[in-house]
Formats: sequence, structure tokens, C-alpha cells
Amino acid sequence: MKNKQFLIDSILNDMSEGIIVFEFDGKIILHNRTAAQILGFPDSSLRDKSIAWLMSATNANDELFQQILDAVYTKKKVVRTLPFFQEEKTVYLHITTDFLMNGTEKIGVITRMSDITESTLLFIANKRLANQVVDLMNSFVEVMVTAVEEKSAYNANHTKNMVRYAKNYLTWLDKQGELQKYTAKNTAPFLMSIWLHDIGKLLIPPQIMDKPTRLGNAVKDISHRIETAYLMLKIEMLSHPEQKAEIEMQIKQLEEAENLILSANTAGFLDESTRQKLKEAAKIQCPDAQGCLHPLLSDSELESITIIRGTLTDEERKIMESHVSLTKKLLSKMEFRGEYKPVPLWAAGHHELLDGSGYPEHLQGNEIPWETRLLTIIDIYDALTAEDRPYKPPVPPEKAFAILRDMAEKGKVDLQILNSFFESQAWNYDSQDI
Amino acid sequence: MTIEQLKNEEKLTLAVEGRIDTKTAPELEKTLQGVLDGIKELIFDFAKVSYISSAGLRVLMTAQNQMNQQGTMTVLHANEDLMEIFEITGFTEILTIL
Repeated sequence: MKNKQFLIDSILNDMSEGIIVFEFDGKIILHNRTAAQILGFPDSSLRDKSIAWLMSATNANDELFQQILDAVYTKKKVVRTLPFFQEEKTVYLHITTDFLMNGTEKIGVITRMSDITESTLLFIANKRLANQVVDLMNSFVEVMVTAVEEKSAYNANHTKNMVRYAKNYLTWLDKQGELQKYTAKNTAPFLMSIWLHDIGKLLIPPQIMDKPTRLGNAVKDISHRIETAYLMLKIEMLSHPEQKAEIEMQIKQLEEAENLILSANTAGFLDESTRQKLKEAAKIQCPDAQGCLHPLLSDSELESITIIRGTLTDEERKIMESHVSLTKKLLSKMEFRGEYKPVPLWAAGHHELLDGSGYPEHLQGNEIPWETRLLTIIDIYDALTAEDRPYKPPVPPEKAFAILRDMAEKGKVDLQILNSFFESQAWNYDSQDI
Repeated sequence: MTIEQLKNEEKLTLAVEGRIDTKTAPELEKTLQGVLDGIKELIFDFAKVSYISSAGLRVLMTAQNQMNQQGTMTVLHANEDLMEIFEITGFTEILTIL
């Protein structure tokens, strides 16, 4: 029997975990060496002492005593990690407080404590390091956004607007209690994917990205060519008065062609008959300053001026569309980890459409994650409503939603997200005062 | 938490109502700092106290230490939950609880 007690005492005192047992009369009936050491008392000096005594002996660690009280109040096991202030240092304790049962009878309260200072400090250091990495990523994003800003102000505004809409929408969604149904509670990675979604545009030539008209800069060459032709024809008329009627006819034809080209250059849409007329006009022979004859428009100029809708030729559109692949390529050079891992995927997928008609990967349906679907909708919404695009006038929000709804009906964008985004009115708020 | 003070010459009764927790305990401590001069009998009426935290216990301990110098201190009408706390913490040994 004596040996048995000795064995129990030995085991208790060799434990790395501190143990204290309080009886309901408030006295410590059992504790081990580790517990005394952690609490800063000599070994075996705690027997028959009470919490009241411990509180009077140390006044900086009421949280530990509070945990015991919490277990008594709640009648449940309480587990916490607490800082514990020793004379010269702070340690971190993992503490479990529970009732000690003898069958169904509660005979006391047992508190077990482990010194986890080392792992806690390591955790704090890791957390600090992780925060530094996130800070570094955020400053990289800032550099990129500044670069886009320097290159194209309207693109920077576009990204800023999108981040604002997304923040407002996610806040709204969270208030509906639905955020975590769709995406992670930490929305920072998603917002980062918006900041970065267009960085590929850094590599797109501005004359394509900001091309305001079908002809772009080429319109100056054409105007110059027509001016020269007028002058040459007038000189010709002076030199050959007998050809006056014929030359006047040529000048008139040239004037008509010029008007046709200038109006087609800025028109939103060109019908087939106008395109046909342009093709005819392109063939008009114009004299240059040396008197040599050339067609009014070169093949590439004709291709540009006969673009049915928008301002980009097929080749220019391909270059423009390559910005998403370039976004992916640039972001693949950076290591996104943990919650930030999907950032490149979300960012580079913003031109994919649910029916597979998007680009660059022609992803379909479930291949496109919720975050990308939302990014796509917000991107289209802002592209449509932006007031600062050099190549197109803005449309009001109602019209933008009509266009988006039409796209949803055709199976291109997510109707449920679109309706939810519409309901949030996220674009109507300046900040997160939604 | 509210504290009602009833002073009768050298006897002071503090009738406390509500929770004495980490947030409200400093309030009780502040009240005590200004009113104990010349008091020989301090009574806490806890009939309407539903909860006391470790911070509340510490305020009682400080008050008891001061009253040990100048008179007596008694806690009245503590409910069952509070009594359980006073017992398991050994406060029944240092306070007079009736």
C-alpha cells in the first residue's frame, strides 16, 4: 500500500504537466511538483492552500483563477491558453479545468497545465513572419497597381472601382449571413485577385489598349493622303483646264469617300452596305506628291475601317485578349501560398464564360470558381458603366444590368450571383458603409 | 451593475445589483476607495448579485484587508452560485459570509 502511494507520487512529480486538485471546501488536496514550479512556489508548499491564498500571494494572474471559476459556473470543462506572469518572465500555459468525478459524484475540480511557451513563441514568430509575407505581397500589388496607373489612368480607376464594388458586395453578403456559403471568411485573397486581374495589360501596347477609333493613329496618314490628292488634282485642273469636269468629279468622289471614312471611323456599328461602300472607296486612286497613283486605303487600313463593331481588328483583339494569359504568366512567377494560392487562377479567369465561349482557356460551368464568376460580372459591369474609356461612351447601370441579364440568359454569366450583386446595390456606396 | 449605498454613522451597507465581472469590478473598487474612511462596519448585500468573477473576488479581498485594520466586513444574502464560488475558492475562510 505504501509502495502504491510512493508510485503515484513519483509518477505525479515526474509529469511535465502540472496538476492541482481543489476540493469543494476550497483546499488544494493534491498537486505535483510541476504545478508548484509553474506557479512559482516551492514544491509541496501548496497542499491545503486555497485559491484565495494563491490570489493573495500573486496578483497578476487572475485569468488562471477565472478559468477555475468559469468551470464551476458553467459546470463544464474549460480549456484555454493563457499568459502566466512569473517573477521574471511570462510563460504561456495550456490549461484544462474540469470536475473530478467519483462515479456520478463531483468531488473536486482538477486543473491541468502545460507550459507551451516555446511552441507559443514559435507560433507568434511564425504568425509575424506570415504577416510580413502578406505585407510584402500587398506592397507588390501596390507597385503593380501604380505601374498600371502610370500607364493608363482609366484602367487604374477600373480596378479601384471593382475593388470597391467587391468589398461592398462581400460586406453585404456577410450581413445576409451568406458569405461563407460561397467563399472564405478572409476576403483579402479575393480582393488581391481583383487588384491583379489586369496586370497583363502592362504588356499591351497603348495604341491597341486605348485605341479610340477604328483607324487609330492611321487616320492622320489618310487625311494627309487625301489633302495631298486634293492639291494634286487642283494643280492638274489648272494645268489641264480641258479636263476640269472630269477632275471636279474625282474631287467630289474623294470628298464623299473622306466623309464616309471619317464617319465610319467613330461609328459604333457598321452595316453591310456601309462596309461595301468603304471597300469601293478604298480602291479610289489618289495621286501622291510625285503624281504616282495609289489606292486611297491600304489593305490594313481597309481592314480597320470595316470592323463591324468596336475599334479593334481581329489581330489587335487577339493581342488585347492576351492580357489575361499575360496576367497568368506574370502571376505564375510569384509564389502564392495558403489562402492566397488561388489568386492567379481567380485573376486570370475573368474573361472565361460559363458556356465555354470565353478566353483564354474556354473553361466551362463548374471549371469556373465562384470567385472568378463574381470577378467577371463586376469586370463587365464596370467596363460598361465606366465614364473614362477613350473608345466608348458609358451606359447607365440599368442598361448594364440588362446586358448582363441577357448574357446570363444565354448561359454566359452566373444569374444567381448577378441577381445577388444587383440586390446589394454595391456600386451605389462609396466605401463599406453598406 | 449598480451600487446603492446606505450609511448609518460608522456602518456602511453597499447593496450591489447585477454582475461583478472584469468590466464592472473596477467600478466597485473605485466606490470603495472613497467611502471607507471612518467606517467600522462594512456590509455587502449581495441579494441581487448574479455573478462574481475573479476580479470581483480580488476587490472583496482588498476590502477585507482594509476592514481588518478598522473594523468588520460581512457579505449577506449571496445566492447558491455565489456560495459555491466562495466555497471552492476558499473565500469562505477569509470573508464573513452570513
